[in-house]
Order: sequence, then structure tokens, then C-alpha cells
Amino acid sequence: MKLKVTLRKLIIFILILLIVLTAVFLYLFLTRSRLLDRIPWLPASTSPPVFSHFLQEAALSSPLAIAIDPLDNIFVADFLNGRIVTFDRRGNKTGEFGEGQLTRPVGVAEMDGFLYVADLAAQSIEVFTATGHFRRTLLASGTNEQIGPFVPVSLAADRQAGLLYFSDSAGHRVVAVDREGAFRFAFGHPGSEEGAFLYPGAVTVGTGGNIYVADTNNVRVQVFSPGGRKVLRQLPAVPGEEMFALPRSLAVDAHGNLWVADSLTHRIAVFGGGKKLFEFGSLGVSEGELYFPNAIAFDQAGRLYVVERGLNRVSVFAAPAADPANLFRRLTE
Amino acid sequence: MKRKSLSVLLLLFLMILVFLPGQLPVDSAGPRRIEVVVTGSFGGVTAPSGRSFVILYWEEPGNTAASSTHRVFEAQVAATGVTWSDRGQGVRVTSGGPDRQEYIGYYRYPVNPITTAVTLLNHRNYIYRVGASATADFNEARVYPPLESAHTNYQKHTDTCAGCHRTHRAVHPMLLNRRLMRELCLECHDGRASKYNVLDGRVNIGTGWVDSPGGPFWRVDGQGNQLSTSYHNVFLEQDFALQPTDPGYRRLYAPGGGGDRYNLTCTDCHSAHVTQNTSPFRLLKSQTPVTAFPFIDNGRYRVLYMDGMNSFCSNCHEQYNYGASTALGYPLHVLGGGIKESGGFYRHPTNINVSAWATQQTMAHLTLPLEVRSNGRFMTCKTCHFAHGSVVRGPQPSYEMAALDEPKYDRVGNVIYLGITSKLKRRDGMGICLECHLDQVWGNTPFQP
Repeated sequence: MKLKVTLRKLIIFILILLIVLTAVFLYLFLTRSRLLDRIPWLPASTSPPVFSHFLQEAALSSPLAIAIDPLDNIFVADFLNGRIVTFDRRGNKTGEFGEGQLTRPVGVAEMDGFLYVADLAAQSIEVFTATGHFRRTLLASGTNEQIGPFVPVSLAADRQAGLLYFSDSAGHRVVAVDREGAFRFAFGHPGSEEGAFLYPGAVTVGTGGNIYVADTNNVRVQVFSPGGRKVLRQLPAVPGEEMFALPRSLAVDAHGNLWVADSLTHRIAVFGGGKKLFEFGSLGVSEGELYFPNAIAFDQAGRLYVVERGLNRVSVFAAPAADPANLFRRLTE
Repeated sequence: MKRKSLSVLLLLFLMILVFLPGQLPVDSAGPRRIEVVVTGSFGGVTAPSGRSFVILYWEEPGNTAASSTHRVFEAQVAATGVTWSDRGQGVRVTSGGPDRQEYIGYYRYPVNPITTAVTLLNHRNYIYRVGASATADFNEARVYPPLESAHTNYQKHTDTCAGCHRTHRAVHPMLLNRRLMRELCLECHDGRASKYNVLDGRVNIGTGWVDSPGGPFWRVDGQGNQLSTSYHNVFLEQDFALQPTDPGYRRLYAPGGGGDRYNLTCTDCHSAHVTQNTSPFRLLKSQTPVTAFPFIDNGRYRVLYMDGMNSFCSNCHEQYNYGASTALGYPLHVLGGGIKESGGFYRHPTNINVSAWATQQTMAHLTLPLEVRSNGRFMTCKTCHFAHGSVVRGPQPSYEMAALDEPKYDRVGNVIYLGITSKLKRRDGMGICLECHLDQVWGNTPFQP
């Protein structure tokens, strides 16, 4: 069979091809923003830029913790420099404080306009105003009979209950105190069984007062009922299942989903509705990649701040436009 | 013909008799590996507060008996030496045993992890040897409750390899997921996820954090002031690419290094894994094993050194290790007789037996670590120096290296060392010298024993 190609037919074919390609291009162009929104781990152009690169302006040295107050002032614990560095939501450095009062700041939490700082080397919890004025030592190891000696490695605030939680690497437990430093309750002991800890790391409080603990050396996250009375669930649910390598930091978003930063896999995993929704991040130094993420927190707009110890950097990720659970479903369906 | 066949068969039989024993598994040096399980609960039973269950597993190829041929010995460590308690034989793990779901092992200690449980204090060091005896033909396991060592037991959770390694997208030639070795080490050893905080030089002994025998790499005080006055500089990895015109370039030259740059990091001394060339003590990398045992002494974390430390240090500091057991063979530290030239200088000897002074005043108060051997107590590099860093005050010019006396230069002519240092010493100023030589400076008369 011979195919006869005339000039007329060729022109018609080229025109149809052009129309189709134009339509495809227009569709992609008009939907580009929605496509980006559907990939929450890409730093969006509308979010603040990644700031504090490689010991430049802020000159952070092993930052290990972050707290964000209701006005979106950002406080970063600069571990090896023994200070707190503050930023605004655009990533501009607005100040620093704590030199002379702090040795190894390892945890920060904001409550009622005060910044509470856990100091690993001094084995204490110090109180500053939001502008960096030192107020007092809230608690020092061995000074409270009910608490005894402790080495704090993280700090979290439950603003509703007026409680501060710190994890204690000496006793492998989580301790709750009130604004005055008075003992309220503690839970956990050394071990690997349910309810026990091995070097617990971050603590955070979710909706309903449930307490989430990164049980770092047991390579899991445990969720406790208010007061730490009962283990509600564990991640991974099946002991021995490998979900993390070194879960360091936790944050609960506005939808009640749990975000877990794993410093050795350089990933952040998101859990909701009893299952893993998605995870993002990979080893790297470019924007969007992670390098030893050690602390995470959300600001009021829902943007995710990730403190990367290995790069002395804080990366900011776009706020998920919708419930991440639904977002994830859209992505996978 | 028949006779010839019989002869051949007999010859074959004899050959089998001669060679077969050599082909059978020989396990005379203790089990090839010991696996340690440390857990807060076992078989539904929770360990007493402050303690953990500890179970040892090992293989004995060819043995099918109910009891192991190897015995288990536990170290009892004191400042004067180590003794070994015989804990008996292990028992063969059966499919119906309490640990059947846990590990496909062969022999286990204790006999029953629940009814004859071994629960050990958390944050203490325990040393077990499994073999024919505690002093020969054994393999050794170090146990640090409440953790199973992060540097072993990978076969139980193979994905833990991925915590440090990448197969195809690594950023370090050792297939690691980090550019700098210290970043990986400090992720746990900064005081947050290990009992050993190398930055501040602290160890968790269960009752609190105390000074570590290695000293701190970088300790600061409550006012943020740097307290470390000298340290083995393991913070140089990223500086190695600097150009000679950069001021930081000078830091790459170790004092006394003779102008050679050295890219020192944690894994130059320590291995991340247990290998044939690492010592159980601190996983030190050395062809000559370092025999040493940590222990708690009146709330202090101490180490009983027994052998090998001088040899270990001399892997780099090769001109400092001489004394009693070396080719120079000096039996006593006697001026003129014991001090010899080494590497172009006269140096205080190490590896010398100081037991001859044991009855004198100087030894009565000596608290510096010595290597305790069967034939005496020997001075080591660690007698005077920390391995990691020192915070002693009174740092002094290093006359051998500073500009005051004999400056060292790098290959492009820059003076590479002008500062003062405490030289990793354990005592302020010349306090180290006085620990042994007090009778030479005390009063105006010779010491009378």
C-alpha cells in the first residue's frame, strides 16, 4: 500500500500538532502553581528564603533547637556558641543573647512571653524575656527533691496547661514542671519496653494534651495520654519494624498530624490518622535537601522551619495548603 | 592385585586420619563472635528499676550437646587489677526456649534469661569473656546497659547500616551519609544519645555525669568561656582544602608534626565497628591490642590500664615510646641510664616500671593512671596526658615548638605554632612532674624513706 502525502495533508497535520502542543502548554502553565502546592516539600517562592547558610551572617554552630512565639519571632539554640539567636519570619537575624548565662543550650520553648532554655552542660533550665533579658534559673539539677539530678536534652511548652516538659538523659524520663519550676509529674525509665526510654529526645504536646516523645535510642516515637499515664501508641507500631534511624525532633501541625525529623536519614516523616502520610527530604546541601535535621517547628502561618545541624542552617518550607492527609491522597491516587 | 587395592585403601584411610582433624572446625580461641542482647524487659518480665537484662549468645559449630564447651567469665575490675568470675557454661538454645522468637543463636548465657536472669546496673561497664578460660582462648564482649552498643549488633536490624551509610549516593568515600566524620560521631556523642559526651568530657555513670578519663574536646564554662586549653584537634576536616594563604591552614600542622599536615578526626583513633584490628576498649584502632577496663571507683569513672596504650599512642608519636619492654630495655628510670636519645632529642621515657618506688612517699599519693601488669606498674603516655583534651590551667609555652626556642615552619615558611598549650596534661603547670618527683623538690634534704 502506498501512502500518498500531499502538501495539503502535511500542512493540516502540522497545524493539528501545533494546536495540541499549545493546549498542553497552556494547561501546564495555568496549573503550575497548583502543582507546586501539591508538593509540599518544595520550598515555595512565596515563603521566606532559606536563611543562615554555612556560618555566614548568623554564624550558628551546631544549632539544635528552635521555638517560635505567637508573633513569629524565631529562637534558635546555638549549641556550641552557647547562645540564642533570634530571627524574624523573613529570616533576618534580629538579635542574640545568652552568652554568659548559657553553656550548651539544647532546648528552647516559649510560653507567656518568656523563653525557657534547657542547658545540657549546666544541667538547668533558664528563663529569658522574649527580648533576651535574663530573668532567672527556673530549675537546676539536684535542687528539687522531687526531681533530683537531671540532664535536659530538650524542652517543650504546653501553653494551655501552663506546663514545661523536658527530657532527661540521666534518668531516661520526661519531667513536667509548671511555670515556677515546681514538679508536676514525670514518666519513663531506662529500657526498651513500652513506656520506657533510652535517651529520650524531643517532646511535644498535641491536640488533646497527648504527649509525643522521640525515644531516640529505641528508634521510635511514643505517644502518651495527658500526664504520661498511658502509652497510646508507638511508631513504629510493630517493635523491630524499621521506620527511623535517629528520630530527633517532633512537631504537631494545625491538623493534628505529627511531623518527625530523623537526623540520620535526613528525612522528615508525617503521620496522621494512625499511618504514615508521606515523607520528604534527602541527604544534600541544596535548598529542599536536608543535612542532619535536628529540630522542627511551625510558625503561625503553618510554615515548617527545619534546623539543620550539619549545615548550621535553618530551612523554611512552604505551608501545606490543605490537610496533608488529603494532599497525600491526591498525590497517590 | 587385591593386595595392591588394599594398600591403596589403607593409604587413603591413613591420609584421612591425618588430614581430617585439620578440616574440622577448631574453636579453640573462643567463639568467633558474641552477640549481646540488652533489654529492659524479657519474656513479659520487667527488669528491676535501674537495671537491664543481659543475654549473651554465641555459636559453637559442631557442638550439639546441651551445654556449651565454652565457659563465661565476668570481669571484676579494681584499681589494682582485674579478676574473673567463672559464670559457668552456656546452654543450647532450643526452639521451645523463652528466646525462640528473638535470635537464632546456638548457646546462651544465662541458662534461663528469666528464672536465672542476669540483670545489670544501667550505665555501668561490664566485660564478659567466653572461651576456655578468662586469660587464654577467649572472645570478649563489652556490655553497656541499658543500651546495646550502637557500634555492634547490626545483623539484628540491617537497616541501621543506612543510618550512617549510603550505597549509591554517599558523600564520603567510606560510603557515608555525611561529609565530615565528626558530624556523624557528635550526633550521638554530644551528650544527647550516648553515655559518653566527648565534647564536654563527661560520662553518665548512672548516679550522674562525671569527668571522663579522656578529657573534653571542647568544654566551656557557665559564662561561655572556652575552658579547654589543649586538645587533639579533630575539628579540621573541612580545613584540609584550605589554601596556604588562609590563616586556618596552619591549624592542620600538629605541634611537633615536623611540617606534615594531618587531617585528624575521630576515626583515626577509634573504629565505628568491631573488627580484627580494634581493641574492645574504646574500639581503638591498633595492631597491638590495648587492654584496659573502665570501672567506677567512689563515684569516679576510672580506667584500669593493663597493656598496649603506649604502643597505641606511638602509632603517631613514634619517637616517644621506649622503656622497659622495648629494644632499649631499660629496667629502671635512672637519669643517664634510662633516658636516651630518640628522634634527635632526649625524652622522658614511657613504658618504665615505677614499682621500685612503691614504698616511697612519692608513690603513696600517686593517683595518675599506670598500666598494671603482672610484673609491676608501668608509666604510659596516659599517665601524664589526656587522650582527648585538657582543661588544666597554667598553660605554658611549648619550648620545643614555640618561637621562643625553635619555631616550626610549614613547607611554605610560615611559623606554624606560636601559642601556649597545656599539652593535654592532667595537672596544672608542672604538677605532673611533682606527682613522682616531689622528693626532689620538697625541702632541702633528700627524702628519707
